[in-house]
Amino acid sequence: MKNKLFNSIKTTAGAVFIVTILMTVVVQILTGHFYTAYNLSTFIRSASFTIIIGFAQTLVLLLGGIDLSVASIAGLCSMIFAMLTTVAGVDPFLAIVIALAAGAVLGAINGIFICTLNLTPFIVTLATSALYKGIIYVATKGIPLTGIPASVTVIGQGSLFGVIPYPAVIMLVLAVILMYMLRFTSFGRHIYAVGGNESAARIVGIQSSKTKMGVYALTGFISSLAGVLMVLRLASSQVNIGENWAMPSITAAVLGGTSMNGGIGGIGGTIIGGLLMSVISFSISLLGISSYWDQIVTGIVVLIAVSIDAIRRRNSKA
Amino acid sequence: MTEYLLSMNQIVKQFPGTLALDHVDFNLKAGEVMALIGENGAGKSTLMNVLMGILQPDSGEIILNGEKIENKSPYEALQKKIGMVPQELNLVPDLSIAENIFLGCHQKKGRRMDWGQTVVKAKEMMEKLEVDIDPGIKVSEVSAAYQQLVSIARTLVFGSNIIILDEPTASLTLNETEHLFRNVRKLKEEGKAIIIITHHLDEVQEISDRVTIMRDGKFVKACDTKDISIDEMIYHMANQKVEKNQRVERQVSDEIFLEVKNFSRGREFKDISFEVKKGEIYGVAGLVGAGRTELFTCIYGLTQKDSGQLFLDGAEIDIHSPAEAIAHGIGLVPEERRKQGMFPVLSICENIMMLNYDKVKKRGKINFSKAKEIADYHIEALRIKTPGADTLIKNLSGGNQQKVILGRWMERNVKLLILDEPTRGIDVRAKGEIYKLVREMADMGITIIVISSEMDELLTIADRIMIMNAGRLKGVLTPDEDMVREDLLKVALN
Repeated sequence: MKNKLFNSIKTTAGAVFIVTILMTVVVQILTGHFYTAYNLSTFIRSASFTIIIGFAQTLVLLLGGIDLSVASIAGLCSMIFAMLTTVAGVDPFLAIVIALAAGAVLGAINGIFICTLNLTPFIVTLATSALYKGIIYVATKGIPLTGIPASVTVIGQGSLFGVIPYPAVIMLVLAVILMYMLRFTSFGRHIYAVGGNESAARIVGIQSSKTKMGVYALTGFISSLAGVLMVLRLASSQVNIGENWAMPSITAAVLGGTSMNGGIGGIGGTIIGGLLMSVISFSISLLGISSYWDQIVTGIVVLIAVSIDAIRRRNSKA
Repeated sequence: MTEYLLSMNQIVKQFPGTLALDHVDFNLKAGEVMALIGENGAGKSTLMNVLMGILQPDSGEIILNGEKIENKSPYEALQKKIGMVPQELNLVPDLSIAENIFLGCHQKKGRRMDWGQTVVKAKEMMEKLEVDIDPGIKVSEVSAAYQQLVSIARTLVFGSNIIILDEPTASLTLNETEHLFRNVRKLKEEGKAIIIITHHLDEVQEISDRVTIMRDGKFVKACDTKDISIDEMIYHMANQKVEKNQRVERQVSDEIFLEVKNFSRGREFKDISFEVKKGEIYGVAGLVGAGRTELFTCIYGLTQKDSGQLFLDGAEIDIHSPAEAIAHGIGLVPEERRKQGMFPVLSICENIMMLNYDKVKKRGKINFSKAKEIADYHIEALRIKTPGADTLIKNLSGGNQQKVILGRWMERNVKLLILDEPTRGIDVRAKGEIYKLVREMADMGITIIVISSEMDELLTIADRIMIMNAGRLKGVLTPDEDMVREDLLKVALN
C-alpha cells in the first residue's frame, strides 16, 4: 500500500499535484482567501473549462497527433449555438445538440485531411484553426450575441446541490466516460496502440485511419462542449471565446504526464495539469498581482515541471 | 603492461537494479582485431560505451598509450583517437555522404566551410574503403552496408587508432561482409586496433586475432582466437554446455496449405509462384534486396499486389489489409521488432492481447483479469522470462520480446504464420529456444514461413528453402545434413 502511494507520487502527475496543493496552501497563508466557499467554487468552475479542453487535446496527443484548432472549434461552435438560439429562435437544448454535432464535424474535417492525404496534424489543425476563427469573425462581425435563455445558462452558472458548479459536474462525468473508454474499450486501447507504434498497430489489423478519424471527431465534440459551456456561463457569446485555449490545453495534458510523442498518458493526469494551471491564474489574481504575470509564472512552472520529469526519467533509464 | 595500446582495469558501472559492469578488465594491442563476445546483457555495449565516453564508470581506470585517461564525452574519445560505429548507425539520413563523413570535423577554408575539399576528401576516403560512389548522394539513399562504411570513414577522418564496431554484420550479406573484412584487415595493417562486438562466432574465427568473453557483466576470458573453439566460446558465454542448434528431420504432410501464383508488384518482385505444405517450416532465403519482405508483406495485405492469385487450403482468397489476413488465420511477425512488432510502452499482456480483445470483451467492456490469465498462460507456455504479465515489454530482452509477439499469434490460433528475421539480434541460447518453439508450433499443424538472412539458420530449421534474388524466385531446395551456405548462394546467384 505504501509502495503504491509512493509510486503514484513518483509519476509526473503526482509531482504536479503536490506542487498544486503546496501553491494553494501558500496562497491561503498569504491571503487567507483561497479556501473560502465562494472562491473555491469560482476556481473550480473556471478550472473545469481548461480541463475539458485539456481532455480534447489529451486524446489527440495519445494518438501521437496534435490539435491546434481546439480553441477555434470551441469558439465557432459556441457561436453556432448562440446564433441558433438567439437569432434563429431554436429551442436552446436542441441548439446545444446541434452545436455539439457541429464540433464533431469540424473535428472530422481535420481527420479527413490528416488521414486521407497523410498531412501532418500540426499543419492541418493550424490551418483549420485560422479558418474556423475567421468564420466566427465574419459571421458575427465582432458583435457579441446576448439573450441566451435562462433555462440553459443555469448549466453554466449554477451548481449541483448549490455546492458543485455544473461545469465541474460535467467535467467529472466526461472524465469518467473518457477514462472508461480509454481503459476498457477496444477503441481506447487502439488509441494507445496507434500512438505508441503505428506500424505495429497496422500489422495487428488495427485500421489506424478509423481510429484517427474517431479521435479527431471526438476531440471536436469535446472542444465544442467547452465552448458551449462557456457561452452558457457568460450568458452571451463573445467573439473571443476560447481564443487562448490552445496552449493551455496542451500544457494541461503534458503537465499531467501525457507524452507529446503519443502512447503515454491519460485523462486523470490532465485533471491535475489543468488544476495547476488554474491555480496559477487564480492565485495571481488573489494575490493582487497584475494578471500579466500569469503567462510568466505559467511558463516558469511548466519549464520546471517538465525539466524535473526529464531529469527523473534520465536517471532511471539504464 | 606496455605491450597494450589500451587497458581498461576493474571497470564498474551500476544502474538502478543492475550491476552492468562488475570489475571488468579489457586489454587491446595495436594492430589487432579483438572480438568482444557475450550473450545479450553481458555488458559488451556498456563497456564500449564507457570507453567512448557515452557513459562514465563508477570506478576503475582506462589507460591509453601508457597514460591514464578519462573520456567525459564521445568528443573527448574522438580527440583521443577512439572511434565507434554503433549498431544503429550514427548518421544524419538527409545529409550527403560527404557531409556525414566530416560531421564535427568540417573541412574549412579559414572560417568558411570548404565544400569542394569536403567532397574530394570524402571520395578519397570511400575509395580507400573500396567504394566507388558519388559522395554527394544522401546517405539515406545508399545500402545499409555502404552506410556502415560511411560511419567507418567518419572515424578514420578523426584519425581514430581504435575503432569499435558494434554488430557490424547484422544486416550485411555475405559479399558485403567480405568487403567489410577486407577493409578491417587493411586498417589492421596500418597499425589500427579494431574491436568487434558480434554474435557471429564463425566470423569471430574468420577475422579476429583475439577474443574477449563477457558474461553477466563480468570478464570471463581473453585469449588468442586460434586457441579456442566455437563450442568453447559458447560454453564460456553461457556457462553451460549449450547444444549447437542441430537440424531435426521432421515429418511433413503432403497437403498443400498455401499456394501463391504469379505474384507481382512493380519492381519489388515479379511472377512469384510457390506452394507451402500444411505444418511445414518453409524457409525463404535470399540476399539483401531480394524482395522477400516485400513479397510477404504484400501477401499479408500491407501493400497491394499488381497481379497474382492466392489460395488458402484450396480456396482462392483476396487480401487487401492486415485485418483481412488475420481473419483468414494468417499472422506476421515483422522484421524490425522495435519499429514494427511491439508496442514498447505497453505491457506484455497488452502486446499479446491487442488484437485479441474480442475474446475477453463482454458488451464492449474488456475484462482485464481474463486478459491477464491468457497472458500468464502464454508466458508459461513460451517460457518467457519476466517478473509478470504487467511488465512493460521494452524492459525484456530481445529474445523474450520476440516470444511475446509469437504469443500474440498463438492466442489468435493462426493457421499460417510468417516470421521475418525472427532471431535477429538475439543471442545463441535464445535462438535455440525460438527454434524449438517454431518446431513445436509446426508440429501442432501451424504452417510456418521463415524469412531469414542467416542461411545457417534456415539450414537448421527449414523443411524446404525457397531462394529469391532481385525480386525473382530462383529455386526451392530441400536441405539435408550436408547442405551448406554455398549451395544456397549458388542458386541465388545463378
